[in-house]
Amino acid sequence: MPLPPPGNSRLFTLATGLLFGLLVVHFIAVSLSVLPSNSVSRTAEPVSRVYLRPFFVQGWQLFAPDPVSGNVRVYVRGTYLSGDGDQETPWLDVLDPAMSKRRRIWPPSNNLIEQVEWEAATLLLNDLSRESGEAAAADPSVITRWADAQAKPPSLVSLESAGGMALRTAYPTLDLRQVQVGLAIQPTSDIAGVFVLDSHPGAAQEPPSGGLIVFRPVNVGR
Amino acid sequence: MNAMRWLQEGPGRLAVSLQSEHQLVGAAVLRIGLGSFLFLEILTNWSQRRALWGPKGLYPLWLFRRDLTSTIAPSILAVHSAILSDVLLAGTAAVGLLYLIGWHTRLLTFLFVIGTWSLFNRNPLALSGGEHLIRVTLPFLLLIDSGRTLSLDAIQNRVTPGAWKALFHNVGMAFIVIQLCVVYEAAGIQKLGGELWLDGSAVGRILEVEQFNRFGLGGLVYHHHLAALALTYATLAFELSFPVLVLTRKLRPLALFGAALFHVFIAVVMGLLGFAAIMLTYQAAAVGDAAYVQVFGRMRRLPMRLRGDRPAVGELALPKRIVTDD
Repeated sequence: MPLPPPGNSRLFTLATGLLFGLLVVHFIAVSLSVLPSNSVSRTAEPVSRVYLRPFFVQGWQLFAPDPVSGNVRVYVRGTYLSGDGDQETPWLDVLDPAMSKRRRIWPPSNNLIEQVEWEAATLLLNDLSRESGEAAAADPSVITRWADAQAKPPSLVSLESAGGMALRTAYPTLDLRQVQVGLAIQPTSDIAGVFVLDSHPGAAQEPPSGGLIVFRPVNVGR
Repeated sequence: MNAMRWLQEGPGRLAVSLQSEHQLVGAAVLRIGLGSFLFLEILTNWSQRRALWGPKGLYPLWLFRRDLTSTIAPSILAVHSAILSDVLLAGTAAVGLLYLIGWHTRLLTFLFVIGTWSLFNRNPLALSGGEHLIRVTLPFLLLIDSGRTLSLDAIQNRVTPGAWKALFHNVGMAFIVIQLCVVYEAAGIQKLGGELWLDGSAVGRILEVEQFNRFGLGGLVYHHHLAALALTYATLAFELSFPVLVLTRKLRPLALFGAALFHVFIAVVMGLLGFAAIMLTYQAAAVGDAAYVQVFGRMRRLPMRLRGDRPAVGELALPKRIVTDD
């Protein structure tokens, strides 16, 4: 049942019109930002970008236009100080299911740390594709540029942090100095042939002999 | 002639209609769902909180500060001290709990928006599609009257209706439901540009990826090409038709049924439980009060029917606080 009308019904009608006008303008700006790029959206982009940031930034690709069709693998290795000088650990597969067991994260099937690592790895591949043209053949100049902390993409920073944590979990007694991240993507049809996952929690996994993109080592504990 | 009449009378009629609040139960369900989300997100990840949101975690404080000028997304959780970060996180979880039960909802909505915004921006890599939807609808939560029913405020009679309040509530709910439509429509249109979606193999390919086949059920789909093909085209059909289905009152049950199937499949087969729960909460917000009253009425009558009793006069009365004319 409608409530008694407000004192100034003209003002109410005007406010209604303004709010609905705002709703229309808002969703025009939103639509222009989510639809595939066209001449109208390109023209309106500077204005809609200012309006949408930071509260209404959209991004609903959700497996589009083409879903990721391979398993992203993140490898890390550490440099540590031992009696004979600097030594390197073997490569460790950060997204290996055995690692989650070792980290005792619950629930193991859907934990947020793994989600962050996977998201970072996928974003890093996208960043590489954008900068190098093709992720599988990463441009060495891009890798060099990303060695600078000020130019490094957030996805790589995050994987270096994740790598440091994984190495400390796997080798708690080592005096870690540096962490190095490697990234690979396996086509799904090759999974069974390339990897046989070790059942020992945290066991080192050999990365693929070719196609591993290796980033510059970074000092730990920044 | 009719068009002229509509132009003259339409805005006035709309203004009158907007003086009563619609979708009050939907707004309350949204509050309960989002409050539960915030509370459980922090509680279930408490042992990993420093890795996820701490100053030296996966998204370290120096990175957050470096990118702040481009993200323009500050966070109250961006602090140097790990202990202070813990305290603020615990406070944010408490806000989620109080918002969920509907205690001083107006104030708690404001705190919920700040807390959720801060949590999301402290580590943007921890966000899935569901959390992105929450993020872009946060400002509209400030407009809606989510404490009118199914809340502690309602039990303790702290709710006061008003025409202006109703106007803002209705417009806020319109923003939220249309944003939900944008998510599906945009996802559907973007998929039309993908070869794998057009040739019907996309769902099978997604389920071959370990990240989306955690329970090992994906093989049921990608080993059977017909199943993969049907699910790929069903996904496209559902996403592209969702806005029309949900905005047409008679077709709305079909939209909700499709959404329930779609998200339960995603939760069970792909293991994306959080995403499914958030999206279904938003679906529930799109349901009108009349439909909820009907469902509540049937639920109340169910024990009587099971006993074989006839309902007594008055037992079918609808809850007074809920408007049923939408």
